[in-house]
Amino acid sequence: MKTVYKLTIVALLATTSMAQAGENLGAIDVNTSTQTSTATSSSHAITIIDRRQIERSKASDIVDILKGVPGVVISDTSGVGAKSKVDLGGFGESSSANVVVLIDGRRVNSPDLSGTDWTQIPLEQIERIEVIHGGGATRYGDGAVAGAINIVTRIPASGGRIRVGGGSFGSYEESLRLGADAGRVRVESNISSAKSDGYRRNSLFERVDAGIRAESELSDHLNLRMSGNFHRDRAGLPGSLTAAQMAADRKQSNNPSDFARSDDSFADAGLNWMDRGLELDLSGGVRDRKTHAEYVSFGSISDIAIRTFSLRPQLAYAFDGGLPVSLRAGADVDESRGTFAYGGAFPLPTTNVKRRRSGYFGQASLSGSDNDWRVTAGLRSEGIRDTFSQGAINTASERKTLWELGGSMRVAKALQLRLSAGSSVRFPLLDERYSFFSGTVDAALKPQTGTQFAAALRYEAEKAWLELSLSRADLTREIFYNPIGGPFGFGANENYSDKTRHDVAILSGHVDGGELLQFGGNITYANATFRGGFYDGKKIPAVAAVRAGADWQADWSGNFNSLLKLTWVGKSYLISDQANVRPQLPAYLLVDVAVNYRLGDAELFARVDNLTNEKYSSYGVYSAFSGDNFYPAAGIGVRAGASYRF
Amino acid sequence: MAASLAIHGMALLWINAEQQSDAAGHQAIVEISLASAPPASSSVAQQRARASAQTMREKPLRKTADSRGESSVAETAEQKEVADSRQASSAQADAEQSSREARESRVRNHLEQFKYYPASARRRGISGEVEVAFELDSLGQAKLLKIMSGSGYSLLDDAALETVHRAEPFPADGGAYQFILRFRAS
Repeated sequence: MKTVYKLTIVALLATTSMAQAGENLGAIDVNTSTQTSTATSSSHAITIIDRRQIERSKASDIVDILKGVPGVVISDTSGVGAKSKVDLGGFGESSSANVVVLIDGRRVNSPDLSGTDWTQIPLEQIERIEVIHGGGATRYGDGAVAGAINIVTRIPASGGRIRVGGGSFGSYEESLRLGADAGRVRVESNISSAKSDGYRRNSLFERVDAGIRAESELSDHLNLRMSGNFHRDRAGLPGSLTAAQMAADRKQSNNPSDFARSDDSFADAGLNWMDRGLELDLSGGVRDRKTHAEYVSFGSISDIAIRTFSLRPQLAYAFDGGLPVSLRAGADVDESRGTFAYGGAFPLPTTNVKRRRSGYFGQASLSGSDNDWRVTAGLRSEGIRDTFSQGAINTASERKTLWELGGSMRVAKALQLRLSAGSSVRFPLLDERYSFFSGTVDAALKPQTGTQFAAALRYEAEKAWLELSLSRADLTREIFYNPIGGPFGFGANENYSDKTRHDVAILSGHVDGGELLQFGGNITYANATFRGGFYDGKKIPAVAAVRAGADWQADWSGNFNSLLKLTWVGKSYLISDQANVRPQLPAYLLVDVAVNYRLGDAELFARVDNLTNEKYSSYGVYSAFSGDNFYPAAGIGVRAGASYRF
Repeated sequence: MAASLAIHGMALLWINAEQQSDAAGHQAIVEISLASAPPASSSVAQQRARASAQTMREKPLRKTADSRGESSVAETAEQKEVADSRQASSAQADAEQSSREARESRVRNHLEQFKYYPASARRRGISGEVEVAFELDSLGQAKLLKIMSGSGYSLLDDAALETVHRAEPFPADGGAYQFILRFRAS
């Protein structure tokens, strides 16, 4: 009897509630496949750092954020993050050349050894960062060996924000964002600058950025976009210290006058047209980068100027052929032209360089009707053609075919399995291939090729997720700097004579135990080894076997939240210690804390980096001439500031 | 709107009682009489509904207890009268529910034709859910259009509102509706 009444009451309350809100039409899905994002349907494990996490971290640059990401190890020679390398997948010294970095599909890897300038990407412009683990070369081309880091910028929005901050090491930063949204046209501009005297002597870093992004939806089918940014920075190059020098004064510098400055600008534009499953995306742009470095300690000055034009057309077609089918084809072509000039005590003739990189790819995907599985196959032809002119003209040209097979499948209600196998290529960088001293191309240096396998199993519940990711890269002719290579034994970039293997296992997870108990954690095991050859069985230097990260986020009230982040990086062999005979770079633990207090449209924040004042180096090099060298990283640092939205 | 929905709510309530009465016949009598609860249109109304429900919980118990001592003839007559009334109401409620479902289906299918994924969000793989409420006037024009729960992206929120505007005029006149637009990038 009581049961009957109870049911009746529930019915009344339920319908009363409905009366309040209106007739409920339920959910209407608007589905789409995307050009730039790969998060949902990828065959690879992907770590996503979303806008909320970025804003909460109060990090000063992307490297700060990537520091806690599974599978990533940061190393830096400047002490202020200005010259950081991001190692994904255990590649050590050559990490920059084994991961592709994209901003809105625009490749930002430099064609030379300077790698990626992480400071040229202001955080306030970023919507999301996707770290794609374990390959993806058919999509990303040259250098996508360990994976790719895909940075997606924010949609221009109306309003603005002003932010100021400052703290330890004489640091201050300010940024201004202004946007306007006129419905079909949206524009946003950003201006920001930052300066820090740095932890060590001669580690001053300063930068200024000014950018604009605009988008227009001319119709439901046609979207136009453009973006541009000017970046200028200057960084002191304090150089390395010996262990004894570090013990005496880890803030000192042997190179008090060395510095580098760079101007880096780009303009990019594109259109996207989509109708009835057919999508055309046409993007292109130009980037201009000039770097001037003065190594007074060596009596050397370098001026490198590179201008890169890129064109990235893609055509995609999705249709239902019994099951959903998606086809995609595209080209990814860029041409870099520039000059390398070395002056100072031993001036060299200026070298004109040109590199044309061209990739042409096709990809086909078949999905389950309820989208609980997807298989993807891809092919890519990737090639480069280099021309060096220093009086005589030297050329080098190579092309490789890449393949990839992958799948994503829901094996149980909360379990997602991702599998992939494929090949990869890394062409020698311009200054790896060419000797500016002798004016000759190193014809012996060949492209590095590899075969990748990756698997990831992810358990996802409403309030928690756990992911196990495994990847293996078996490489042939891995390009590395051999400290005893070259005709005189002074060192050279070479192909390793035998195989190398990079195994990575990552366990990561997150638990949302309520507003005060949001925990994340990850542990990465990396085993990078020489297999055969002179260093058979030895570990590849600068690859920490174990790294771990953990974070605790808490929303103490609607206005106040906090973040505690731990990053532990295990010991690794010094760069150039392929023989594994030197003492290892010690392990270190970093504790970072950030708090934010919001008051209406205003926000106050404070962040403490390296709370325990760990004295560590993330970068250490062995030299037959000067022994073990270390680059001390910053001790405890405090920053605080305020922002206001309008 | 509220009154209309309250009626629909009562229809559901009545049907609920009808289903239960098959298993426990005499209780349906009291439940029907109590279904004429005050129309609900606000949180105050919700409190009233709860109060009514509470009253209802008490009344049938008393009625059931009282009815135990009545003669079977009087009880039968009373039951027949109410049962006839219930049958009429049942037919009316069925018709109303059927009509409501048809209208909801029309409105929903109509919205389906006008949904779109803003290209700027699509390119970035931005997903989100927007809950929208609106009312229709006699010409099928949307009014009192509002976002009940936003996606965190003004572009998706605007697209949800624009979807409703594009769908005007709706093939329905009157009524209040809500739906969730789920933007899903894959």
